[in-house]
Amino acid sequence: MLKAKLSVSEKIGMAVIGIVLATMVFLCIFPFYHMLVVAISNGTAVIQGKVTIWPIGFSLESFKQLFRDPYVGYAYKNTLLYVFLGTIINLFLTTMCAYPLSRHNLIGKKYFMGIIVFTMLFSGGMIPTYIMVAITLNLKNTFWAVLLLNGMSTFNMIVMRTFFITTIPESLVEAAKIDGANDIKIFTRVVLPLAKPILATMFLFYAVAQWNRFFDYMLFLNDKKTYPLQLLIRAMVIEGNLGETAQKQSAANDLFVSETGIKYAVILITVLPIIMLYPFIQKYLVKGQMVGSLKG
Amino acid sequence: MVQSSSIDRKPHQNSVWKHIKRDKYLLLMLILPMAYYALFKYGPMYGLLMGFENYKIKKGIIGSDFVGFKHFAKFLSDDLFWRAFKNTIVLNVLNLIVCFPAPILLALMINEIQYIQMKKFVQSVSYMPYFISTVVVCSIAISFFSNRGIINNLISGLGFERINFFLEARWFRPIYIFTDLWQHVGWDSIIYLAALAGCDMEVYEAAHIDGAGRFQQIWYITLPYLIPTISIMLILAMGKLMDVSFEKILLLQTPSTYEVSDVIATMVYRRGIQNVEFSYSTAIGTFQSLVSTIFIISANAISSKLSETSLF
Repeated sequence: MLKAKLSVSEKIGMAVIGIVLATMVFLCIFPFYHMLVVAISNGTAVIQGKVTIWPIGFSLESFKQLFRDPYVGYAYKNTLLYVFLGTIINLFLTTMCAYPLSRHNLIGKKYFMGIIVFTMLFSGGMIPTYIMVAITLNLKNTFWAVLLLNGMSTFNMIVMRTFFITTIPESLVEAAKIDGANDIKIFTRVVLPLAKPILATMFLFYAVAQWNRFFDYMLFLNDKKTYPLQLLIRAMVIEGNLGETAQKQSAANDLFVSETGIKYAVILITVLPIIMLYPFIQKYLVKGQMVGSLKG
Repeated sequence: MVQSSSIDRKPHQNSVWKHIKRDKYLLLMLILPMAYYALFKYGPMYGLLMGFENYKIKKGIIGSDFVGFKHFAKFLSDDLFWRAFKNTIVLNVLNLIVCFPAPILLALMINEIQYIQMKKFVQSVSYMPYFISTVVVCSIAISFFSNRGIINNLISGLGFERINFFLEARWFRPIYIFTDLWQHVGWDSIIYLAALAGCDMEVYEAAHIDGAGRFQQIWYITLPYLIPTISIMLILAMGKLMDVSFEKILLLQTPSTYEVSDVIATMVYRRGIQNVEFSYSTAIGTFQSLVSTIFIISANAISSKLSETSLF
């Protein structure tokens, strides 16, 4: 935009824009700040509704109480394990699918693409999927049900395939072929090194999705010991079931901790990794979103 | 080559075999992804047969009794189904009215920021909620809007009565739409900002010389420039009119708000998973899948007719 002298109505307009954007920034940041303030404040003040903007008192007791609950430790470990394994499966299947389908003369490419795109148009839905995974494949109460069911995303696969088509020239593949390389060698020596940027972006998208996944775990897991963080949050915050933590809290009267404080503490430890890493990874995520929307 | 075609009686099949041999490693790579699609995408489609049976786990899909369209007839005369159908459409249309224009406005406003650093900061902050999980978003909403939460503290501080946000049906839609807006407005503005980045600066300069003010420039240059992107996004949004944020509704609804909050997906979940009425809920799910397929295909057809952009 040009820098120019503004008329009165334009000044008012700019002020309105400023206020709207400031409100939006506030609404995006404040909830997390408020939860942090409540979690470190004195429990009595929290229950009296006095804590809004500034903390009253200071203690990390909410967090300590939280980690005294063994299920919080399990949930954290489970989440890390599920995200790690899940993301590996995602990257493996996505690459294995996207690369062959990016080669312009692959035999039967039309049919493979047809089979895949059809699943974006029509799906069996919740109950048949549940029956397939839990009954037919007998994967009830194991995290493999969730990891395999979410083995790859068709949308991401198509984004990656577009990347291969647009950035790896067919002539490069042909040249490697003339040098006597087979398709496996071409893939590992020529294509994969060139695919680092898209692999990094895919890794981030998949890892965030794995970290945030909830419903499928709720559907397939029964044992509380195998819960990931998202399920634990639901049990603690939404169903209000603080379990052993709440019982211990009444015993430790001198270090009074509010229920709200513990709830906010568990939310914070779940979003913390994402918020901490967010400034560093956001440009890759945005780039990935652009690739996805421009694929045409 | 010329000789082989005269010798060979089936030249086509022969060349197919040759191509398979040539692409053997590529086809080998495709085995696991294809197995994934077969098991987890096409397997459930086969499971749709349950909707036409009295499915019993012990008997399996092949062994269960076939009952034809019995379950379909049953849900089509079920008031609860029509309530869920109506809620699905209403929630989506309301959401579209609020959450579709918002990212466009946001992009236009962000585009007006003069200082690059400030612009980057606002953008980064606005994308962040997109990466927060549904469970956390709902947990924050439920805690903040709860009886002793910060919102009600504020309301009672101003001298009003505390509100039971999650027990009163009339609050469900505003909360659903507001949380959706909060989570997606920034992220959805990316595509418009990307389009704006390609806007030619010289046009603005010319307009400025001709005496056009800033808001005239937005109205006559920027907005028309965005129209193609906007129409495509609108058509694609129409294609998703049967999809709702199922997880969010499941987490935010309480039985006392079912009247407005129960959608087809949550109904299927309750009847199918919690009440174990597999066949009945599969029939409802089939209906939903079919209707959304029709929506997506028509949206895509319109979109590819109007421009070169299409979903697939």
